[in-house]
Amino acid sequence: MPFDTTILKSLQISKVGKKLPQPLPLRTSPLFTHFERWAGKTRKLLLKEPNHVSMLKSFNFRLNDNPFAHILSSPSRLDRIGKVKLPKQLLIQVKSEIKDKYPSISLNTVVDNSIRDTTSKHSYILNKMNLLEKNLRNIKSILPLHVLSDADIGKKIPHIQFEKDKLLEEHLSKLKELLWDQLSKLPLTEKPITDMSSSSSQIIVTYDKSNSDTLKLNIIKDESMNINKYIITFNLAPINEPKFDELFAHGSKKLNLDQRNHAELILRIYRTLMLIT
Amino acid sequence: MSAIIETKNAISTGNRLFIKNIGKFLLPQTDLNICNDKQYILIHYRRLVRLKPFISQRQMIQNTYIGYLKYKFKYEDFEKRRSLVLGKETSNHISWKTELLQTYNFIMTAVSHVENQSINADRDIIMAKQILKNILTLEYFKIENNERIGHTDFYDYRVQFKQLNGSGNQQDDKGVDFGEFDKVVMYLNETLGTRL
Repeated sequence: MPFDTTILKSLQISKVGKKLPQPLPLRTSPLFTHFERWAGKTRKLLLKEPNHVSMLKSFNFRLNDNPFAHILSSPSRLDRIGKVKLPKQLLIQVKSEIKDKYPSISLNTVVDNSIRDTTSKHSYILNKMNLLEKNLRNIKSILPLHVLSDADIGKKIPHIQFEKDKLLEEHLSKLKELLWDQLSKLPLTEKPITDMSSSSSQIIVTYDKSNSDTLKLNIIKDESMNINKYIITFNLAPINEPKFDELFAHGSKKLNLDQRNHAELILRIYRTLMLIT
Repeated sequence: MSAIIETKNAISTGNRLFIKNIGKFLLPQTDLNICNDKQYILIHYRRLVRLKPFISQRQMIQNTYIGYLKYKFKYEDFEKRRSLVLGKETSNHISWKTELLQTYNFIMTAVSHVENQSINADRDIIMAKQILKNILTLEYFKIENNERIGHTDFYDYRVQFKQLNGSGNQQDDKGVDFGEFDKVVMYLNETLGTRL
């Protein structure tokens, strides 16, 4: 007797018919709803004008007027002697040139704040005279890496001219010359200007032999504006040059500087004082 | 070139991610002068720790940042460090509460993006970020050699401030490097009223 399949089929259909496939609920993947969790990008807080006014008001550091912020915000490079990464402006740039087939090194007096030289064309050493005199033993320790990775560098090194004392002396005298050129062009005054309305910082340069401090900070608190105003006094006495002494009339004259117009000069003064002391 | 994806919490552009819900990073609206010293410190500490993912995407730098905060809040003798750089006679003219608030503002500046900002604010943000980065790098170097040589770097550089006292002849090379950097940081602290 043949099996009557119709009954079975009707059963099957009714069974399937009970469970008609429901359409899936519309859900967006967390790939889109929580994109920020896995994006792996640099995160920033987004501050908007009407909502976060109180927060934005406190952003009044005026770092561009601050010479120390300029030093600290320079890109960091490895100090070859101390083996520590420091901001560029605290270091001396060592430059190498090819002279008569052999490389020779010289010290740069200016370090620019850009991040362009990533090709290790320069090496860097700490801007500190007494440390260099003590620790700068051979040329190998300060040659830039692209010179050191040269194939026959071993044969070249004995031919490279390297006189430590001469190199450092030349660097120091060059720095003093540059400083003199810039300072002698600027007008000196008997008494400091007390008007500080335009900028939050004021820089005074003196030449005071009786004072041993090279840098002095005076903070003036301004209650109304909630901004710190400050006067930085540099004392050029450690340079110990008679012509500087005459320029400043043996300590009675002063020089007023302003970060916006003389940023480069202020940096040079700080670097020179740091090198000597 | 890449698309801008906007979700409920963030806006994502080519290389940046801007977080929109920032309520938990801001200070509470209530007057902070009411709460006692311990609460005041905790309020700021919590918010600074929450900023961890904004400092860097790298785990190592995040750890350095948390270690730096812990050191700052628990161990550091700030007055000692200050007097070593600026001389003993100078007195602190700002209360520590204002200093803490300014430090929080500084780190917030470093991790923020302001819509329609002026050039000045933009400049501040870039410089603050770079300064914070350099400070964290130096913090890392101060404790990096701890396991290799002597085990005393934490004690020498962060408790005793060996790099700031004594003449240059007694220092090792690293000490001079740290000393020069710490001096500039202290001058910056004085001028901004922060406690970095």
